Amino acid sequence: MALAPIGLQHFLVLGTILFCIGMYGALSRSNAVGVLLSIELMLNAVNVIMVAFAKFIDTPQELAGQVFAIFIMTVAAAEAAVGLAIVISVYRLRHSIQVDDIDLLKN
Amino acid sequence: MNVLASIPPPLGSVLILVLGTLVILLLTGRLSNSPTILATIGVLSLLGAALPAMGGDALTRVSVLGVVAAGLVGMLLVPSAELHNSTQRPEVAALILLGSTGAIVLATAGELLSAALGLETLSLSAAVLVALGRGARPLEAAFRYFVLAAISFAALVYGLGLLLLATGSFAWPRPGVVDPTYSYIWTIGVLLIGLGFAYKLAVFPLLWGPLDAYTAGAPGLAGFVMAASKIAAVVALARLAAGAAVPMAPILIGIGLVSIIWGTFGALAQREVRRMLAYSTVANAGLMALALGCGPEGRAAAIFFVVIYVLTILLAFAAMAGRGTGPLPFGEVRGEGLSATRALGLTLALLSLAGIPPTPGFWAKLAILDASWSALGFWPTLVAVIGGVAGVLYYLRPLPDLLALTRAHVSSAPAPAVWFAGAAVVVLGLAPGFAYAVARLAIGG
Amino acid sequence: MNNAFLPIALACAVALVSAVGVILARRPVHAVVALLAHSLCVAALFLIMAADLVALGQVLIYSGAIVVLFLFVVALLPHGGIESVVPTGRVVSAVVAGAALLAALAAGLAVGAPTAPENPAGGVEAIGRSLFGPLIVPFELTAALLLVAIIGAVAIWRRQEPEPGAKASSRAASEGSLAHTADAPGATGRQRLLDEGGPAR
Repeated sequence: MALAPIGLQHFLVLGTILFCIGMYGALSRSNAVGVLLSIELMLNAVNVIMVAFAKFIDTPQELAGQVFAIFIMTVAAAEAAVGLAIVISVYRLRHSIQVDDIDLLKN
Repeated sequence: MNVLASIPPPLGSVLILVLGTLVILLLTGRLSNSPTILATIGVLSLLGAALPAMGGDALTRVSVLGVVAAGLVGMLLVPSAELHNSTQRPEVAALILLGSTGAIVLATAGELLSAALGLETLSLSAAVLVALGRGARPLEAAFRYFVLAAISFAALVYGLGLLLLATGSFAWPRPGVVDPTYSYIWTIGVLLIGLGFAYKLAVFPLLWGPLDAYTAGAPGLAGFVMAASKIAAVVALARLAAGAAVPMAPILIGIGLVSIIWGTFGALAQREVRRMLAYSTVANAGLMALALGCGPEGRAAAIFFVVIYVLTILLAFAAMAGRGTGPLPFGEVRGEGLSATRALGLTLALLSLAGIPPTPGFWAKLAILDASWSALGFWPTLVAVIGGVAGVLYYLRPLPDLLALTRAHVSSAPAPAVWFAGAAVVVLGLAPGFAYAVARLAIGG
Repeated sequence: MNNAFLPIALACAVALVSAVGVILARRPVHAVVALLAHSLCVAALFLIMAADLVALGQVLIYSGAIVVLFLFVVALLPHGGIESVVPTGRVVSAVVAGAALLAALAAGLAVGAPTAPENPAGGVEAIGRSLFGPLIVPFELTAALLLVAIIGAVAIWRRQEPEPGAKASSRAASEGSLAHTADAPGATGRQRLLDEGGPAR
């Protein structure tokens, strides 16, 4: 393989791209479930960076990146539970999960 | 500044609050029919949580006391909160306790990972508290609040990851410890963490979620959400700016100025008290951000301001609590049947928010303008002054109605939350120097 | 590392494509399945990077719990919430925001981070030592966070239940299924909106 060995940089760029894809989705999806999915994507992107970080850089804190990734997963699960509960409740009230319909306040 | 970087979280406070939550959860069935006992348990846990923090340094004490005050007002309003399902008062009380836990951790955590978890605890409980208000509006506001909170939290986590990469630890940033190779990553990391904290402050780019939540949530709960978030966010941002003044200060000043202008115009355009208060929050958050960018003096002024502002806004929301989650148009304040106590409370809160001299709001604004003048000079201070003058215009619009009301209904039962917040505002108005001294001590300047 | 080039490249490529799928799929079901694929690819990347425990967590928590939770919700919503036409204003702003961030961060990261030598794999013991050693405080704080999530999810779900005045007969119905009867959508919502102002007790 003539290519440079795969290193931290590559995963940083991958994670950044994934994060931005997620952010674009979170800002532009008009479907509430899609917005929540995009947020999960953003958090997952950080995990990619953190695991690569634990792999390639030595820190005083053992495997700080991997431990951080585990914390992020916990937060992602908590966010998914609350977010989906809100989406279902909104649906039961308004029979729609389009973000643009969720704007009683704008009128 | 080293003091700022090494505060251990007041774990005693956290333990007592979680214990109180567990007691409430275990007794949910009984407590849903006896709101007074529920509120008593909640108030006792909050008071108990304040005790262990008294052994900490000044910043810990200020932030814990501020959060506890917010929790107390929220808790006192739980029995009369406008819930969609009125059997859910125990859940609301539990979430207030847990939200206070999150806010205390965010403000006083020893490292950034705990602070991030505290922020997320606060965000989630805030979103749920807003969502439980009566009607469809609170739920939709909660959705918007939740989505923006989740996006900004993801940004914070990303920033925390970059900071971890640059420094190898979760410690609060300090000047001069960064390997120059990583300084770019470190800068971006610090800015993204600041973005996550700034969401809790509700400054310019990150505000449609909080605006909706403050406008549509049940007033008592929205007041708690706003107060706890702001005090924790200001303390956290002050600690961040103390350790990383280089990327943070100019950004904070810029964001602050834009927020002042945006919030002022927004508030001027409103015809309704709650939305006006929500927009004016943005203007006030801008003032705080401006001050946070002005060095130690400014950070002390911001903490002084946020304590006074939070108590005042709690008074305003406590006065509006119990009348539903709908809007309160200026012209209809009179017809809303606010009792004399509540009308007086709202009047006092609005006078203080407007910064009329004998009220504490005046001293708070003065401290920020002073810090901004000595650090930034003429133009930024001019923007802040114009914002303050415009504030007088929009805050005082409902006043004639309120005063007429005070004459009309003389007798009414006192509301404990209004009394508590009102007394706090009056005391601060009488002794602003003491609070300012505490704030300066807290910031170590 | 070089012999792992192909699997890594493959996993990265599929992860990227499926991430794009998550945000572009019109049907939420497709988006959820794309997230599942994405999550599994990321787990594979973690395995390649010797992060066994995180890979396990990725499969169990992301793929196993979160994605399945999303699937349940999408299945519960009748017409699955098909995407309406996306308003252009938001797309433009999101593109601008995303592109700016992408450019800034990618440039910064490419400049700032050198390729460091690989770490010897630490494994589960090291993670345990971290979690129950220096990071014990944040670890315990996740308890409060999860408590909020539990209370919050249940409380929001129970929000629409009839109040005790309306009594137990319909409670069972609304607990058993996602019955719209528990809260006739527009009518009740608006009624309650008009209703606000009356004392709650």
